[in-house]
Amino acid sequence: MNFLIPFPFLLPLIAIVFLAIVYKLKSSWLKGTATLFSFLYVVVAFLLAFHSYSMGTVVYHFADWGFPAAISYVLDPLSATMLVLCALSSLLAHCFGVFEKRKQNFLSHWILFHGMHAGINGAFLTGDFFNLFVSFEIFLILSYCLVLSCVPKFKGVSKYIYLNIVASAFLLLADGLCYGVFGTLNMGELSSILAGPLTDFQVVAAKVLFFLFLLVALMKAGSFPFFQWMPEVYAVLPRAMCAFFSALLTKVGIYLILRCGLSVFPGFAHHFFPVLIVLGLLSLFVGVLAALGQKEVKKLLAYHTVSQIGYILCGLGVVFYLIPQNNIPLLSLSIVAVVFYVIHHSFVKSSLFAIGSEIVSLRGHAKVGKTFGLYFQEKSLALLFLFSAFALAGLPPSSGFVAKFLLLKSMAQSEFYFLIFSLIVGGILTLASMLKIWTYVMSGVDEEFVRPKDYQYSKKSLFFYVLVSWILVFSLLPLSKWGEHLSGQLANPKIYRSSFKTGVTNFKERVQEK
Amino acid sequence: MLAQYSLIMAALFAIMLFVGFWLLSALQLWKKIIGVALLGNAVNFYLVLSGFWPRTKSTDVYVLVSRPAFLSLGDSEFFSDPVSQALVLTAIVIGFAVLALLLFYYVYQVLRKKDQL
Repeated sequence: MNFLIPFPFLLPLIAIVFLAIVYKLKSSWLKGTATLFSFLYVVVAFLLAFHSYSMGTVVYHFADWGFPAAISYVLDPLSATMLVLCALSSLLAHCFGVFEKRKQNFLSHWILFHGMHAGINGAFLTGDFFNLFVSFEIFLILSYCLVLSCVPKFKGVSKYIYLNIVASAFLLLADGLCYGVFGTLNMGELSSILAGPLTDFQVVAAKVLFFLFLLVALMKAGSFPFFQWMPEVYAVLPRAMCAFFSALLTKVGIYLILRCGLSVFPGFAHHFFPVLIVLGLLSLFVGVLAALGQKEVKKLLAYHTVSQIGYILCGLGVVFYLIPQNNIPLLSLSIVAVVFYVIHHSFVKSSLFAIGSEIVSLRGHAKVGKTFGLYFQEKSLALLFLFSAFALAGLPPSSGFVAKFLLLKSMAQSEFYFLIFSLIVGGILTLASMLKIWTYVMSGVDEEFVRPKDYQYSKKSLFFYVLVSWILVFSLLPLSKWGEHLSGQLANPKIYRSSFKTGVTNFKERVQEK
Repeated sequence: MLAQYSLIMAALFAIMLFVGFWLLSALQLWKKIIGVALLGNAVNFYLVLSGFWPRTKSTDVYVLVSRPAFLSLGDSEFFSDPVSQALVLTAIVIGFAVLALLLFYYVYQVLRKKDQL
């Protein structure tokens, strides 16, 4: 089954070529073909997840070069989780896009969408820092094209583009530093070098390197000082793209922090836990307070994402604090809490964005200022919104409750009581901003509103979105088994290191034989 | 020899990086595009420099030869490091793609304005 590992990257690349041909020949088939491909991604992602459940951490070396010379793709439970997440949210976005019966605008976006899928999957799988940069760039250049095609003026999305150009420059700088000091870009080899004896200069270089990767990841995740791009991008994107972006754009950064901290730099991560907690708390409160002051539905939801990223960063801070303490059960619990929060947040946020976009297109504009009375216009839409808002706030039978409960439990057991207090205050403020949408959009009556003729929205796909965010609870039993497996593999960086060397001939030995 | 050379290289890198960031904070789009180009080239320059490595204890040959990639052969063999060159080629191509996209958008905007007038 190892031959399947590069396919999450290769299949979307094949799909781009195929979709471009279909777009030229018969453009009405484009969406159907795109959905078929995304269904294929889900199948491949689940196959890889089962493979990683039985085999643990597996490494695929491209073109059978030896260990440090080859570009390697690593399939471990964390990357398998992210692959499944990416494939499922892509399928949901396709369903949402295909069932809509409005103008056939933005058709060529689906081709860009699959290219972005390739880049994100490559970033989740790769075991090489330069390849990580290349994957990020594949994904970023296509997303620049996508957002630029959605705005009339460059100024609308300039923050997103400049921030990501600077982040890419920092990532490349980190790659240069890594190669200059340690002589390798392979994550497994770097992890082994860092675990061994180091000179003073190398220790300083490793700290700087980890700081640079953390900086890049925080820029991608949209944490406190770097969140301004998020509302402007989410406000202009078309509906299905918006749902996909909100599910995965920030999660790439979170994945990079988890991978660097737990697998590559486990000896250096705990120096940075106060940074993560402070930035997490700042983005929690700044995000939610900015959301309270917003006047547009989609911008409000985007600022919400900032505050949810704050929750995840606090959880990551706890994980980094626990790494040197050798308390494996507690470390496993906090890793599972963070990963489950990421899964929950992707689905709930994309469902909220999907419903928010639906409200905007029903109403014709995005302002929140005046009462609208959606409940009397479209009862089902209002109810769906209510359910996903409850899931976000963490009402007991929803996935948000489980995610928040796990996060708070890990914080209580590692005695971060002030974090628990601030998270609960943040949760109450989140509810307040949800109430703002409720009062201005759902309740009341807008008498001047004229319902657009033959307006139809895709009830089915929206229903799927909300269903997924609630059904996560019922899959808790298999997910808890998966979480045990994931945290067991991830809490021990030795598994990650040794997986690179098993089953391949060493390149150095091969050359010396000749 | 080594100290001066490293200092010149570091100063060049710092100047390029500084001017790049400075231009990136300008208001006009064309200045920002030049800033993006300079920033990318500064980082590429750094990537080339990362291939150099002290081969022997006497540091006089530091800048003249780089180490072989992946191998630790005897000091007598003279290899140059292919990896950092391969990396910088890829990085240049990617930076060029971003630059081309921004330039295309700039030209597109200017032409559209002229059409309206």
